[in-house]
Amino acid sequence: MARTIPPTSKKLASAFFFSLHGVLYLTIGAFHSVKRREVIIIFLRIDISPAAAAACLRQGESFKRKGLLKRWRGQLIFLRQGDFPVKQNEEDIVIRAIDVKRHYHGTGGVVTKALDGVNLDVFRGEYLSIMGPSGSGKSTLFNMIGGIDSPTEGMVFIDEIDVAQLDSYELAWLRCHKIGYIFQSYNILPVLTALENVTLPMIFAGNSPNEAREKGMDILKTVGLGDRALHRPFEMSGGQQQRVAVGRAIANDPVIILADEPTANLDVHTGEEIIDLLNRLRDDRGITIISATHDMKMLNVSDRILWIRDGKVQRLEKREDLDIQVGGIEGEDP
Amino acid sequence: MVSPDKIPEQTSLSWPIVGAVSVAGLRRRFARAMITMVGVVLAIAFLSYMLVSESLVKALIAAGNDELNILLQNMGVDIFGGGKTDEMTYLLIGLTLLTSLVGIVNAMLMAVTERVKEIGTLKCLGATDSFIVRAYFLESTIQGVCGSAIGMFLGLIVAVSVAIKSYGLYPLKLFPVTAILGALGISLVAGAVLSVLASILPAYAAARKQPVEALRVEE
Repeated sequence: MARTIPPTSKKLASAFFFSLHGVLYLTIGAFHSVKRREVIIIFLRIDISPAAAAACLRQGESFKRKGLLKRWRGQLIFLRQGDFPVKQNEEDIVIRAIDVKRHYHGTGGVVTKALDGVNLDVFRGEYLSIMGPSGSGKSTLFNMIGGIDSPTEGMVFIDEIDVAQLDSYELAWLRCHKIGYIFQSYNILPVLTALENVTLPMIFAGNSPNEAREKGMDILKTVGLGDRALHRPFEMSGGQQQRVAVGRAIANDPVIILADEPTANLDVHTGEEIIDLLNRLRDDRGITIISATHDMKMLNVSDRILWIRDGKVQRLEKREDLDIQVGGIEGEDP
Repeated sequence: MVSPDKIPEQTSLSWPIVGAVSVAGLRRRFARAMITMVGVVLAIAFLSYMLVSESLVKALIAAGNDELNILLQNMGVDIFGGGKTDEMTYLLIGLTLLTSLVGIVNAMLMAVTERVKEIGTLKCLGATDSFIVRAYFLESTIQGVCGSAIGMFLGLIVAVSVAIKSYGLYPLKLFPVTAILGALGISLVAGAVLSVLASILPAYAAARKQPVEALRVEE
């Protein structure tokens, strides 16, 4: 008769195999506390070849994907029993911010708490808007999610990758492959053509120029600029430049698009076109879109809206719960 | 966690882009680049002029022509001393080179500060620190090397013209090709070394800029 292994022992066994997997790791301790419902395993790295390290990392990644591991990087690994069993929608979480704090140290020992313990899960393929007055920590949170700033405390996972653990090279890789950025002032490189702007991230990702050109043309067609490939930014309108920026953002098939006030510099009509474009990309390609915005029109297409105030999440609403009236403008617009 | 073997190298294909970004940077700020370059041109022209003149005078002395010796002595050249340039002149050349070095460093640091947003954007698109270092390094090296080349020829032309004015056609008859090529070579190498040295600091300053800068809105 097969003996049923209790869940905790199972996790411990997995963790044990994980430690065995890198024979070069020396396990110095494994503790299990029933009361605190957590398992802490401490590995001490002694010597490790790049190949063995890669194997360990892959193993660790697969464990983390299954939700077995919450935090690990060789030396310190925390397993919390409370995290088991794996949640139903665990696979669908693309960004997870856990108790994120960001403090700035000003002159005279003054500490500004830009973010003060934010928890947030962003689901795959959703359209999330972050709203808040200026100085609310909106931009700071946005930067954390985008992997362009790291938290003072807490953790940010982007597509299961713990941002704080990455060095600058790995961060560049993450930004290149996982995230597409759209800026308020477009930030199109002025010396390059529309096509070159779109192909640049693909070149960074290691694609050959020919491949990149072909894909770049497809993307320009997608954003409606197929006939403008060889134009430079100064020959284009703001809306067209923002389209190039959207094209550039989707160049490497990112998981997330981060849009920082993408419509702020555009007129109502053009802004709507950009919003439609983003919405279409979300529907067609399943890209998660996160935008910081003041634009009420954007709320209308958002799945959820995060209101942030004084570094804390004020409320998180679903669109269904909102009653936004965005009428009347179209009629007035010529 | 991203396993290291999944992260491909970025070095091989990005050189053409590095070049494009650097050249584009130079073209867009052409006037400023020219002014910086003038500093290098003048410093290297001075060096090249002194070295070429010295070679020419040495060649003239070596000819041992009586008529020429009188001309040389009239010009105040110590024909028995071998026509060596005195130490003060070298000191002056050294100072000029140093000034132009500071000039390039300053101009490039300005360029970096002006383009934080561009650097931030590049980083958001996935440019590594080493890409940024290479782009800015190349940009100021191109500036320095072009300036050195122009300065080198300028110095040569001035030195030869001055020599012809003073000694008639003798300098052309006795043109010391090897020595002058050597002098030009030294000028060019000095210019290149100078510009490479001047590029290091701005390139690293550029790489240290954070991608957050891209999100900053300038009004």
